[in-house]
Amino acid sequence: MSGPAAMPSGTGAPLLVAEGLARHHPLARPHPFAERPVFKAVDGVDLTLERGEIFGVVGESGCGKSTLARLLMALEPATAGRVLFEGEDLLSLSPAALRRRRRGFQMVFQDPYGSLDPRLSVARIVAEPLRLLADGAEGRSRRDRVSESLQAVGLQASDARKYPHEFSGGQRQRIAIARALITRPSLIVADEPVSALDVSVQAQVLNLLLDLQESHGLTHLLISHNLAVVEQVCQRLAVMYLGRFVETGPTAELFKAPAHPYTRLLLEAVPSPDPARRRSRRPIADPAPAPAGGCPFQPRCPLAVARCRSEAPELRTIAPGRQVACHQV
Amino acid sequence: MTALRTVVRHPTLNLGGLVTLLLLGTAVVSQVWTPASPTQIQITQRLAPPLQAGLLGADHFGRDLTSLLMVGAWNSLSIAFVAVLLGMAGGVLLGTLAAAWRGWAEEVVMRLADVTFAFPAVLSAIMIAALIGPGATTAVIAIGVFNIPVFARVSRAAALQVWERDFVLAARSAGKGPVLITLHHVLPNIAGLLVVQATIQLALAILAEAGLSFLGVGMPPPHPSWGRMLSDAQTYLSQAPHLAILPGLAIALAVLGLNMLGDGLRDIIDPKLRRKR
Repeated sequence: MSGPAAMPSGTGAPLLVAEGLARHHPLARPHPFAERPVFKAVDGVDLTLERGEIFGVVGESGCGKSTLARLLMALEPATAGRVLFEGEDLLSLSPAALRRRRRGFQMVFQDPYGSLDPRLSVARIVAEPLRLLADGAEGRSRRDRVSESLQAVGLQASDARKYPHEFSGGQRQRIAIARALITRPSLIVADEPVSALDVSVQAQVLNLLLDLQESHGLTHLLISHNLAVVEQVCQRLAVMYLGRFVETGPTAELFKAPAHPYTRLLLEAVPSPDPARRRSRRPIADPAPAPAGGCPFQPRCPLAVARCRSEAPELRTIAPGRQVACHQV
Repeated sequence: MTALRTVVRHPTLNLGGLVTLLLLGTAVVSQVWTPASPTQIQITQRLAPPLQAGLLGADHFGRDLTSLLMVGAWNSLSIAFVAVLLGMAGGVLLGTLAAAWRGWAEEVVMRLADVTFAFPAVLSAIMIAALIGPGATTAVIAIGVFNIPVFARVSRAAALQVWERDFVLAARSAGKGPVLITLHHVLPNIAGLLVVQATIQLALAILAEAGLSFLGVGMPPPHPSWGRMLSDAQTYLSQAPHLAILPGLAIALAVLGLNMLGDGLRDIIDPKLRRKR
């Protein structure tokens, strides 16, 4: 695949560009002479993040969302493709050079119980990325930065002395966000940041991310399987299916007129509180492995025709800023 | 404070801790005071039963059995302790290294551990002892070497679990390499498990030390040793059974105490492994 995944909506150079990003895992051979099968966790993703936007990636579990996040954060080696952060290819940097660049992008994880080391104090957890800064931030300035970061996420400076188990799930996620903020990065990739939290706390954490976008001029990549979450906070959206983007576009338009049959199925599956608005319930086929050729969604697609079984659709622009990978659109 | 309550109400832990503490106390006291000199031969007290010469009687040279057992505790414990420490240092280093680098380093370490395990530990220990001659150093090396694969396996398995956690990804995102992640995150998170394993290995090491001394490859005379006391007592089993019973009891008690302590600690540190009562 080639070409940008979405039309640039902001101004100036994009903050992050991914080109043809892929991550394949070799599997065991079925017999000694067989070709080694590969599992394509991420299979040719193109993505452009403009400064200051919140970009959402949605898809069901196992579609490669988290792998994509780790690839963009240069935490996992890519099988193919490039990740350009402020114009520099992260995947071809030396380990030392990559370390210097890391201060510009940080990550927030799904499970705030797993992403904070229970043996470390909050101060040490939040201060962890400070080692990425050239001045190292020792002593007093280090303590000041930790306090500042904790206050930015709505916690007390005195919380620095406590340990993670003394906090609730929502507060823990705030600690994780404080850790991501401390190097004053320009990009935060949040991998399902609220899915492990209570609904009442989800809104608080999402509002915090929105506030930080404004106050710190942050760019967010928000990964979620929850359509209500992305609808609320994301300006642009990509729908992911089996390692590929099948549809991208501005969130409002995508919700108003979903083009790809998978997007339509996803939106139909969202329960509506209003009985009058209740959408028709079509059964969705169980997740199917990608067929060897053709469209990956074809085994579950209600619109599939012969062409879908032989030829994989590429993303193509159907309206300004909107792209769909489907023969039937 | 539920953790504290569990400690207080845990009978196995309390009993094991008490026995271990008693053992440790005896060993330490023996270095500054014993009822009589453990090397002083008083042939008139030869094979005296308990309470007729000293508290616990005397052996075939007329040496005070209480003093011999006390100093024997020190010798047993110190050899076992140093050996386990040695095995733990080597094993944890190899195990965490294998977990941090995966790939061929892991393969090499784990296959070496398998090879070491394939030998019966005591037999191999006797072999090493036979090669470099008897003595405290021999016992320490022989027992220590066989503790390395135990700790390598335990620490690798536990470290792999820690490496799967998201906070390791966060640490990598903060620019930490494998060494710093191992030092800052892996070791503190597996320390509890290692303490439990060390306690149990200490019990096994005491048993191994007694076995080596029994076979004559442990600490040489005149240093008192529980294992050799047992071996010497065989000849006098019908005349003075207390010479065999008392060191045997000491070994059993030490092993039981440490095992109970280890089990109790495991319950506290890793409640998931707790058996249903």
